[in-house]
Amino acid sequence: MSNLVMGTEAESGSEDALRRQADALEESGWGERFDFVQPHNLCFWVYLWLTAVGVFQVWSYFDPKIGFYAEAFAISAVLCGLCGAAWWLWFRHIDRWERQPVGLVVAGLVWGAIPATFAFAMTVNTAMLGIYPKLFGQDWSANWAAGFTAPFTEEAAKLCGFILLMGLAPRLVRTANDGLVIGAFIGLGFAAFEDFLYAANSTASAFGTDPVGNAVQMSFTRIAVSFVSHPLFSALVCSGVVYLLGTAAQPRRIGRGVAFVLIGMFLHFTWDDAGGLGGGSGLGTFGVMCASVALAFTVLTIAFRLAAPREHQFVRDILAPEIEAGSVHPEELEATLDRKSRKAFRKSAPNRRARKARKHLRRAILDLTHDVADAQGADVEPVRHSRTEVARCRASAELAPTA
Amino acid sequence: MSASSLGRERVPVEHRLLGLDKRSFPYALFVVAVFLVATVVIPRVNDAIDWDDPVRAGEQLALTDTIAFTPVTGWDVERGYRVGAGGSTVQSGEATVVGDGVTFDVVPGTFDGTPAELLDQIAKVTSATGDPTFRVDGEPATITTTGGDVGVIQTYSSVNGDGLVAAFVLDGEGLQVTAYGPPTQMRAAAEDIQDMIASIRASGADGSAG
Repeated sequence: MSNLVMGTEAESGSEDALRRQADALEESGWGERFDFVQPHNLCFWVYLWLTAVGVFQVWSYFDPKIGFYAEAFAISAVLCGLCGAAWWLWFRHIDRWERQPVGLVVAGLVWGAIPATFAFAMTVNTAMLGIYPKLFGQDWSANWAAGFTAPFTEEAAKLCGFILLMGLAPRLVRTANDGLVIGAFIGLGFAAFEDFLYAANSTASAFGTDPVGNAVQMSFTRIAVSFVSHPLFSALVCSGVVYLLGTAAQPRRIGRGVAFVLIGMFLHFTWDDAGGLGGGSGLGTFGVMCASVALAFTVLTIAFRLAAPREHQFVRDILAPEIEAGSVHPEELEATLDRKSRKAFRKSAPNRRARKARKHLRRAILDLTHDVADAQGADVEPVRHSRTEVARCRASAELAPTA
Repeated sequence: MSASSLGRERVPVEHRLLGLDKRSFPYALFVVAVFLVATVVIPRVNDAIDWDDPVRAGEQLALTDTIAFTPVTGWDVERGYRVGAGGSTVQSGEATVVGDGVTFDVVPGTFDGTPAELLDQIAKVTSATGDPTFRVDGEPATITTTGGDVGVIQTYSSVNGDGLVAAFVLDGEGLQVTAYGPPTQMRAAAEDIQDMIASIRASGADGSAG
């Protein structure tokens, strides 16, 4: 009798864990596939149409020049492409919670590079930069027009891509963390192509006498100042919009949403108008840029910390059956999620090798979470493999010899 | 229902309109609206606003920190920075002034060769990248500014219009001067164009910008 009661309790506990897991998978969209081709979805057709407009504009813009400046364009493309690739790797590295499907990330990147830059920004920026000098004169425009144009036009252009992706993958793009990561990728596409555009335009300076030298110099200049750039601005803006709209997985927080959108735009303004804000002096400009960098990374850190608890809860729920089965220990899970617990967990390791092993254990647990989500809770081969990896890392963390 | 069911499965009847999923409309239409504002409304606003920045007597435009020219009084400044009080230059760069149906444009840039070589380079680059029909006509003529600097001037033709192009090299800085407009206007404004070209001078000549 008592055995039967215990068995029933264990089973109901396990059912509870499974329900938690199923609810978390349903709510969060972890492990969902992304299908770009969705003929029933109007967002798909709008994405295609505006990308086609962008491609046409790219072709019209570069076609007359490509024969004359081919070498300089090729070198710029390689330099800006390498810089973009380095950022790509970093963004994939920090995308540790709900890992965005590659297709979704590429769709964001392409939007930033082609439609946002060429279908939207180029046309509207030209118009805005024509309006300001007519209204306020050339001198005012030289100092301020860029900062009063790009934060509105370019952030709106990039945000449009994020909105379309929300419509194309309504369950995959629904937390503030999704906004940060996908926004960063859209911004990366924009930044890489914009850098290339600057380099390509610089080929004509000095009357086209040194196109390669000018293009290389401009590429390096743009790369050097790109660490606070479009990825950061659009990460904040897109994350803010998720808070503003509210989703099934992210309760609406209007104040926070407005704050992130405005800060993203404000940072764009300070970066573009550093010259005007710095009073026209080189030192002043440098000071404004340094202050922008400090503010940008502070705000970004806050944004990631505020977005994290939601993702942490999803991980706890997705791994609930694993915790119950004992394949992941609760303190290991907390050390995977919580910063303080992680520090304490690593500090309590007896030696350096054990500390390193505990770091690997964290990665192994996240791998297990992703595999469980990909399998939608089913006990499939990748999940079993990840479980053994967690056990292996745990064993090496515990067995690490003292130094 | 899986996330991607929107595309893979039939859209539920209550959400269907012409085979499309109505739930995707707000996202898509928002983007279309932003696109139309950005590429139709704002450019039209720009077109609707006229230039109203006439050159006043005594004003000069700074082409570089040390080179300036004097545009004709009353012509509109469409691009360019005025030389400040006492000949100081805060901003400088390409200048475009428009008047009597003629556009007068000066582009500065680093150049080491002679004015004649600069003119060749301009013709080569413009015909290869900007306007394939661009070509300079006739013999190049010598032109001298009131400051004594010597440049070359030549007429040009292209399907976009005809005009004249002049080149100067002052202290390692090349200047491409272009003037274009309808033939009648060009003839009427010939003296103003000559005056503006002649007014180009480097501050090294007399110690002030212009």
